[in-house]
Amino acid sequence: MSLNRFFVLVSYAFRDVSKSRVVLVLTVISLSAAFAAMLLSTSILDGFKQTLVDGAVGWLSHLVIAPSGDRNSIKNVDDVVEALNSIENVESFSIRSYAMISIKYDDRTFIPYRAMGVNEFNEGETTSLPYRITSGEFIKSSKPKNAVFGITLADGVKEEEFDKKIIEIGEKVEVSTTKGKKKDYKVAGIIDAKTFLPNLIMVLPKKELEKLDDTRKNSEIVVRLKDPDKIEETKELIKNKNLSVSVATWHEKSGFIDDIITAVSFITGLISKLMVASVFLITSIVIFINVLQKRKQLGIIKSMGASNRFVVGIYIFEAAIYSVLSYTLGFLIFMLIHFYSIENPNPMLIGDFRTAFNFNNFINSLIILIAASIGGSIVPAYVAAKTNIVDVIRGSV
Amino acid sequence: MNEIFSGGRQPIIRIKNVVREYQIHEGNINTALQGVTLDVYAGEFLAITGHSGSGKTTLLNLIGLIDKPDKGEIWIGDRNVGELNEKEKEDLRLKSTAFIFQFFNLIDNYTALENIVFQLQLQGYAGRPARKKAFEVLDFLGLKALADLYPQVLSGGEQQRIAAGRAIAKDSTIILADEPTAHLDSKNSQNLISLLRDINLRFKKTIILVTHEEAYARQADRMVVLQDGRIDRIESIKTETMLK
Repeated sequence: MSLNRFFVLVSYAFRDVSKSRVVLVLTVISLSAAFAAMLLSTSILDGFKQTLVDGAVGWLSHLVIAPSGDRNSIKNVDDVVEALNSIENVESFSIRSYAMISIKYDDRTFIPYRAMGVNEFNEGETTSLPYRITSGEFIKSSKPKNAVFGITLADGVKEEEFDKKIIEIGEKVEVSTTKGKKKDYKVAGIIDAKTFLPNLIMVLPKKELEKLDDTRKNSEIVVRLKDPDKIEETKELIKNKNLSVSVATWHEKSGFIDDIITAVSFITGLISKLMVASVFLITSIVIFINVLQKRKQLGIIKSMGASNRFVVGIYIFEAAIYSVLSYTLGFLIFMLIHFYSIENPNPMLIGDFRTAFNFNNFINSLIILIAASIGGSIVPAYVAAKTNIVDVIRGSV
Repeated sequence: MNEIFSGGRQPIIRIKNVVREYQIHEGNINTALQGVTLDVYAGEFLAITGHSGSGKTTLLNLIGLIDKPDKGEIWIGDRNVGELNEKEKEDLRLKSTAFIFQFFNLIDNYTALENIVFQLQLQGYAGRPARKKAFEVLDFLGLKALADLYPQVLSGGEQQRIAAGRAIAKDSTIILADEPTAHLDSKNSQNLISLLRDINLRFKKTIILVTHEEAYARQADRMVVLQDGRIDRIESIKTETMLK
């Protein structure tokens, strides 16, 4: 087909589409809604994934070093520190100690909970935990009697669990260890770490916790990397130092994320497939209606010498016009929702949820839906091409 | 009679023993044409007439390549239509024949001018030359003032003249007019027949006019009278007039 003939085809298709304004508007609204819904479902998945990842990385950083086997502590912590300091890709690390405790508040005892001891400076360099304080302040080595509560724990010790009433800053609690030590601490701050585990712990200065119970002293080192893309290489590098420790990535330590993502992916995948099927059917029906309404006109242009290829081209191009208009509008609708979501994140236990825009997903969705639109137009276009000129001009069909 | 008219010219269309049957309800068959043989000469103004159901339009559709015969042969120039594939037929239809229908059949999305431009663009004309030629055609028809009007606001006579213009503009040699006066009043009908004659003489186009009005048929060079799918008689009007 010559370029000139192609322009004639495009012009005819444009006129034909714009002739039925109601059909055009309804079709564009339907297809744009489908595209916006498809983009939205993938952006919800991406946003959800990002929220979970942010929560996990914010708590565990990139790599987690733990004692090997069933040991409670990393005995050769100095060797590990030396090894970490020698690795170029290591940005910072924080050594953590843990202990099992029971908390007594308001004459009630809550057992058992986990306490974590950290150096506030190292933790701040490595994880986002110190920056997730929602009230009060983070622990300070200079204030050993101050404790920080995870928000779920703070809720759990005050009246009923999940009643949103939390222990207040400045209140006192009594902490008992499995070794029988008891000590009073002041609530200095509340953390909402936006992930499950750290919201259930009490944080103390590292040395203070070790004074209470040193059974699990230096039991975890979280490591922040300069280049997170080299996480596997760095992990292998640490492992190859033969330090008798186990090294895992944040992802390996957060298996639940994969489970959640798999479940959400299934739903969004299903929505996407339904959207593709809807777009295919909508386009098919609309083009069929156009063909049936314009059969006489098709007979005329065929009698004027338009080829079957030309007629097929008209309807495929009509589908392309619907696509361009619909997917532009759909994209604008999606971006409005997306920007609203960014400005107004939905606070959830796992984090502040926002939709996420992924350019590759956008391109993939666009290509799939354009293909569905064009695909949906092919059968009616061939029906149009097979129009019997005699029948339509006589008006017998 | 054919020989008298041909004056030694080669026919542009040869119809040889053509049969066309239609399946109607309950398996009954209606034989619209029963072995029609006819030659049409280049530059001729031929009228096909007869009663309703005599096979006039069927014969025209066969010549226009929008229908195909069950038996017999149709030759357009040196090409046997029955041996052409769909693509070749489309090509021949585009280059050789132009239709004027009884229901005008203009494209209602296009203005009068655009209807003619579209026809020219289908033939491969670029936008500007197509518009120039279309304006010339409208000027010839005296319809330049209607160039930007859509068919819906034109009268039947005006629409039919635009349809005739579309046929003239086409670089085809044969114009097939199927009852073009059927929906026109007598004044507009006569104007159209005169226009067809003018086109025939001025542009040397071969015109085949299907009409049930013998008065209009008698204004052609020859008149073919069909009855029950057969040629009843052929009258060479122009030649007889000339001989007289």
